[in-house]
Amino acid sequence: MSLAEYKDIFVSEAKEYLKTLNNCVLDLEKDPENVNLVEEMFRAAHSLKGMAGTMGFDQIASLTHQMESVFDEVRNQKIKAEKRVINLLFESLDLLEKLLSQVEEGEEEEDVSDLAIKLGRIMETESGEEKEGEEGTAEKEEEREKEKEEIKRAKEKGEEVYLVTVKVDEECLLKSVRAYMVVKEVRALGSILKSIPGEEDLEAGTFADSFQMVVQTSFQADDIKSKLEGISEIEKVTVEAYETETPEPSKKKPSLLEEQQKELLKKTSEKIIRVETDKLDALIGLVGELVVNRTRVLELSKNIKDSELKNSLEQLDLITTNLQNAVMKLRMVPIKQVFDRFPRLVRDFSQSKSKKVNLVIEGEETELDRSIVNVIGEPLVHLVRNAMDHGIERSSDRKHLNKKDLATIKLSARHEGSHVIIEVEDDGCGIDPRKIKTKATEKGLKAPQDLEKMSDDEIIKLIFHNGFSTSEEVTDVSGRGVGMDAVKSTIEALHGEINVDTRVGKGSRFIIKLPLTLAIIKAMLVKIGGDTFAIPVESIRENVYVSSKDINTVQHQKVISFREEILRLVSLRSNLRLGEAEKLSENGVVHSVIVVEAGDRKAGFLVDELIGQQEIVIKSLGKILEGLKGIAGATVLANGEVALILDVSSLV
Amino acid sequence: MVKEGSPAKGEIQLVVFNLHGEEFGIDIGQVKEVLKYTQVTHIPHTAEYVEGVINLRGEVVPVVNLRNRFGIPDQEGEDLNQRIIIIEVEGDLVGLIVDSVTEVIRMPVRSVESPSDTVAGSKSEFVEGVGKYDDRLLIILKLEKIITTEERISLSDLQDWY
Amino acid sequence: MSKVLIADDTAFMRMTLKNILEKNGYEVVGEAEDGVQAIEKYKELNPSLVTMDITMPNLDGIAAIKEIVKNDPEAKIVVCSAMGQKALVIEALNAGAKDFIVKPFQPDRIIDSLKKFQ
Repeated sequence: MSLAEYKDIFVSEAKEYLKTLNNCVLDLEKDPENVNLVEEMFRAAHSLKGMAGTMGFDQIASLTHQMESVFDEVRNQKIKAEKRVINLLFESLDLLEKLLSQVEEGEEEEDVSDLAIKLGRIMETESGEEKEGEEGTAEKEEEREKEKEEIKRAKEKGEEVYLVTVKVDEECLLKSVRAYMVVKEVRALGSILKSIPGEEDLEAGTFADSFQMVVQTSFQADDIKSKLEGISEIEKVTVEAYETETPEPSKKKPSLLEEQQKELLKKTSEKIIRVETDKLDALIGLVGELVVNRTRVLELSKNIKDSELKNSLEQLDLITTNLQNAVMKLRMVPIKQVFDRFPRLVRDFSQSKSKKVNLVIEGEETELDRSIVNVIGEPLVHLVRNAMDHGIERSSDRKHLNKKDLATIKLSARHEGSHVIIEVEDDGCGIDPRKIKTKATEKGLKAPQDLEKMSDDEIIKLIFHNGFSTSEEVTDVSGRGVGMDAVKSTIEALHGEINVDTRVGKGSRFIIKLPLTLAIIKAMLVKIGGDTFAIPVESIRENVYVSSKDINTVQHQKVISFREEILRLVSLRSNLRLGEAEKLSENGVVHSVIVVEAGDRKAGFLVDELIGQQEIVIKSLGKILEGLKGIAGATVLANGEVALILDVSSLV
Repeated sequence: MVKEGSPAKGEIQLVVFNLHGEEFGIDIGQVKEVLKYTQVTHIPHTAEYVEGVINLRGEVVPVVNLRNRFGIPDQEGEDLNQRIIIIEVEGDLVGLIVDSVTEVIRMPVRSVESPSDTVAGSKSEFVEGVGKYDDRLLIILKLEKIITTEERISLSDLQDWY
Repeated sequence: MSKVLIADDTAFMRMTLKNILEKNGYEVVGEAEDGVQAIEKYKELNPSLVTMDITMPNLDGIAAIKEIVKNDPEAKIVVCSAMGQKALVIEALNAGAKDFIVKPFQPDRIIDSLKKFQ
């Protein structure tokens, strides 16, 4: 076994650091004198280096090591954060991202020596002299006097004062705990007059590999040495007589960086605990069960006239709701994680094309379900790139149009009820319905006479239509062939919706509406062929009853007309092989039909019986049943029965 | 678990179950629990041997009918001895429907013969080994393999090679 | 030969540890799946060493250590922890554990740690 188990944690944390670095370099480009930024970058690179080293990812470690050195030089004002440095740093970050994905995929890291050399050269060109800072000598003098006093007193008691230097195995995983064990052992032998670094740092594990203690004890040096060397993962212990003149271990530029690091460590260790997502999901699942059962209990109690019972149930109801809200928050992460990639994207774009774009980000602290955050990035990248490519005019054109030279793209997020609204807005040319019409005709999506009947809004919506995206767009989006239809289907798979608001010459605004969470959804429970199924309420438009005379056959397909539309009837019984198909031609029989919509397709699902709406907890069917046609998952009902959740989009 | 390199003096503990008169063993470490047969929710569009899913204390667990998996016809009528053995495969729980679960036995690792020691039949990759216990022969299955592939396996394939 | 009791709730970890220990000449005399079992088996088997997982059902490793040490102050218990469990490891050490090892297990580190007790 190896550290491989920690790879996931490593990758996710490393990505965070990479994001920080990216943002800092972006900011540094605008504000090259900002020392705080450099400090932050230094810390990030340093942490990344340490992590990568532990995991044995040598290339990442080596590249971050070089970057760290560059940051150090910038910090000490030996080199300036000028363009060539910034560009090289961006290049390094891109390579790091690549290395990370190689690590993630289990591939071998590629060689970074080329870039590492370049980074090294940048430093050589302007390297200066080391300068040593002299700090308050008077204070030090005073301290030494005090120590001398202490040593004198110790000797009077027949005790000795030693300088104990402990080197911890560099591969030790919990250095701070080893240090703790050492300190504990030493305290059993005597008292610690001082430690270098201080005890807080020892506790936090913020020391390289070794630390020192000045110890007052009645034990012999050899005793101490052998006791301490008896502790696991302690590589070396030296115990020598302590003289006040003994030079302190070389402390390179302590001050600011160390202070901040200490602060940071303290803060995070107090306020944040890391929990595996599996554990969280288990908790959320249980709360979901509780919510479902609460509903059932409330239902059952309706017929019981007992005011005390009623009161306690109301209380239970309230607490459950609060608990549900609290637990849901655990899954929430700020959308900043997604938005963070855009400044870089827009910067690179502005550099490569003759368009000047200012990116405005609002509401990045808005929180939403982490599973949504993981998926929403790609569609947003597409929308932003589209805005830059097609929305925003060239600088020269903008001048003609009396628009500001600097175009604006606004990316924003906010909560609205139980939804999150994300908007991508640009002040470009907008979408011209006439152009869409032409293109739709060219692509054969709609007949010209149909297009004539459609409103401008309806025509604009054609951009989400499957097959509308042109090949030129495909190349724009990292060659992955993601069109607007893919954006729409990704968002719908998240139970969300996307709309566009556009005005020719003024700009476009894409509005994405997403649920706050995916773990619990509202669903309509129905009976089909004796089994219970759940249909997500978001996909349901209406429930209607139809009798056989309303049903027609068009091209071997049973249809009904519904609000002036022809609607295909889907027999779930035959589709899911749940027994005999409904006898639709029989006279006088009334059928329940649920009108559902997925993407731009609608259909009527025939069901035997409507049971009612309920909040349900979505459970996966596990790996061996993954990817079943027509089934999106399962849920456990209040009576213990398992009901399958229909995947509407694959059934319409 | 019957594993190469495990100590020769070691013992294994097997949960013994019955299928169409044949005795099988599963390493006890792999078994989470044994349930009486309970209501199974059928799932459309799955292999025939996937009986459906059950509710195991709020978790949805898929259930495989081992008779169907090995092409054995269903038993006639209701059998009260029928059990669902819950095992863990690649981190997921899976239930196995068997005719009955009879006992838990201990046997030395060395009384398990692995397929490579004998003339291997075509489907020996589904068998971990055969344990000799008194005069009885217990087929120890490679359950991961049986559950994660869709290849047809018949009972005779499993018996053939020893 | 040192007799070892392994306490860990996952069969996989027990197996891994057992493999490592037996290959290095230790005799695994018992396995416990939770803290309660660990206490019982300690009394019953009187092992010379215990490896104790921290997070276990019924009774966690720290409580088990306290109980075992209460009856046998000389008990030699090594806690097994995951990387992020610093505070718990310290608690376990204060409860009387003599050393700790960090998962994922690296055989030589475990053996180094156990050797100290011979």
